[in-house]
Amino acid sequence: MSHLTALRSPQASHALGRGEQPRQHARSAQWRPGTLGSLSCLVAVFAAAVFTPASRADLVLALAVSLAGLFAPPAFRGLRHPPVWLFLGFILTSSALWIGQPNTHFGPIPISTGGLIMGLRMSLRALAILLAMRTFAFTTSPAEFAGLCERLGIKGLGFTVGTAFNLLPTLDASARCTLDTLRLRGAWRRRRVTAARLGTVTIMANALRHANDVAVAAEARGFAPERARALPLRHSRIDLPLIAALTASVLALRLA
Amino acid sequence: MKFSTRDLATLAVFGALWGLSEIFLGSSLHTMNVPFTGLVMTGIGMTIALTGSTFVPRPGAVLVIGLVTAILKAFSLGGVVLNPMIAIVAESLLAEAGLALGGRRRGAAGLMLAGVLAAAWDFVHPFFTQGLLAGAGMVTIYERTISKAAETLGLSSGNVVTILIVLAVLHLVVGAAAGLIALGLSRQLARRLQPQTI
Repeated sequence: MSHLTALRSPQASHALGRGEQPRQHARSAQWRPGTLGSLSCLVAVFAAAVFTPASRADLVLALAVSLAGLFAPPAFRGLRHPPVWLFLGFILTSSALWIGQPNTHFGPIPISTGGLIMGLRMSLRALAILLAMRTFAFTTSPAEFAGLCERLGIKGLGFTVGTAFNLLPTLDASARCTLDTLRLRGAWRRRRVTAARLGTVTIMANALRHANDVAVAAEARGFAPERARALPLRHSRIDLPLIAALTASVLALRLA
Repeated sequence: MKFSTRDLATLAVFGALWGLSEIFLGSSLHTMNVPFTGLVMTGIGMTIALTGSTFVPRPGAVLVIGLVTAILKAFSLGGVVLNPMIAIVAESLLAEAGLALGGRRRGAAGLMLAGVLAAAWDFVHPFFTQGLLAGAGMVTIYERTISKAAETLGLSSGNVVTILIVLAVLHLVVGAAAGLIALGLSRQLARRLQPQTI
C-alpha cells in the first residue's frame, strides 16, 4: 500500500485541485522552481550528459547533485534502491574486466585500469541522469506534468490523469474484493485460468461502470474536453534566472 | 486526438489499471529480480491497453492510456522510474502504430500486430535505455559480455544467434497473445456491460 500512499501525497492532492498545500521540498515555496524551471533542470542534466566530454562526467554528476540538493533533497532517497547499485556495479565490473587490455590485478583477477576508468565515467553519467529524473518527479506534480503534455496537443489529459488518480483506491479495493471472493470460493484450487479470466472481467467491468458514473458527473457539471482550459503550470520568480544559469552551465561544461 | 468526456473517463480506467499493475506487480517482480519481468509486464500492460482501445476506437487511445500509466509510474516510489516510463510510452506508441497499420476495426489482426510491435520494444529496451543512461560504451560492454558468456558456456557464435532468435520469437508470441486475450476480454466485457433485459 505504500506505493499508493505516495501517489496520494499532499503534493498530488494539491495538484489535483483538492486545496491542500504542497509538500515543501525546498527551503521555501518562493525558492522552488516552477514547472518550466523543473523541466529545464532535467533537460540541462541530459544535455550536459550528452555534450560534455566523457572525461568530465564528474561535473555532470556534480550538476545533478547540486540541483537535487537545492530543490529536491528527497530525490536522494531514490538511490537507496538496490537495482540502482546493481546496474552501476554491472557497468563498473564489466568495464574493468572486458574493456581494454588487463594491466593490473584486483586480487587474483586481472583488470584493465582504462576499462575501470571508462566504467566509472559511465556510472557517474547514469547516476546523474537517474538523480535528475527523481529531482524532476519531486519538484513537479502529476497535474503539472499532464499540463505540459496538454500543451503539446493531448487535450483532456489532465482530466484523464486526475480521474485515474482518484480511481486508484477504488480499483485497488475492487480488485482485492474480487480476488478474495474468488479465493474464498476455492477458484484458485482448480480451473485457475477460468478464475483469472473471471476475476479480470469482473474488475474491469466494475471499473468501467465507475468510469461511466465519473463521465455522467463531469458532463452534469458542464465539463467538455474541447472547452476545458489546460491545467495551469506553476511559475516561480527563479525560473528565468535558473534557465539562464543552467544554459550557461551546460555551455561551460561543453567547453570544459 | 479528440475524445469525449466518456472516452477520457474510460481511458482513465484502463490507465489506472495498467498503472496499478505496474506499481504493485511490476515493482515487486523487479525487486525480486524475476527473469523476463519486462516481458510479463508488457504482456499484462498491452492486454489492458488494447482492451481499452476496443472501447475507445480512436487514434491516440492507447497512447493516452500509456501516458497516464507513465505519469502514475513517475510519481510512485522506486529507485528506477525512468526505464519503465520510457518502456510504457514507447510500447504505447508502437501499439498505436500497429493499430494504424492493422486497421482501426479492432479485429484480431490489428490487435495482434499492436501487441507484437509493443512486445518487440521489450527486446531492444535494455540496450536503448542503458545506452541512454551510460553512453555508447554500453554497446562495447554488451558485445564483450555476450562473447565472454558464449566462451564460458562453450557456445559458438551461431548458438548465441539461435538464443537471440528464440528470445525474439518468445517476445512476438507474448505480444500476439496479449492482442488475442484483449479481444476476448473486450467481447466478454461488452456482454457483461449490456443492460439486462427480462
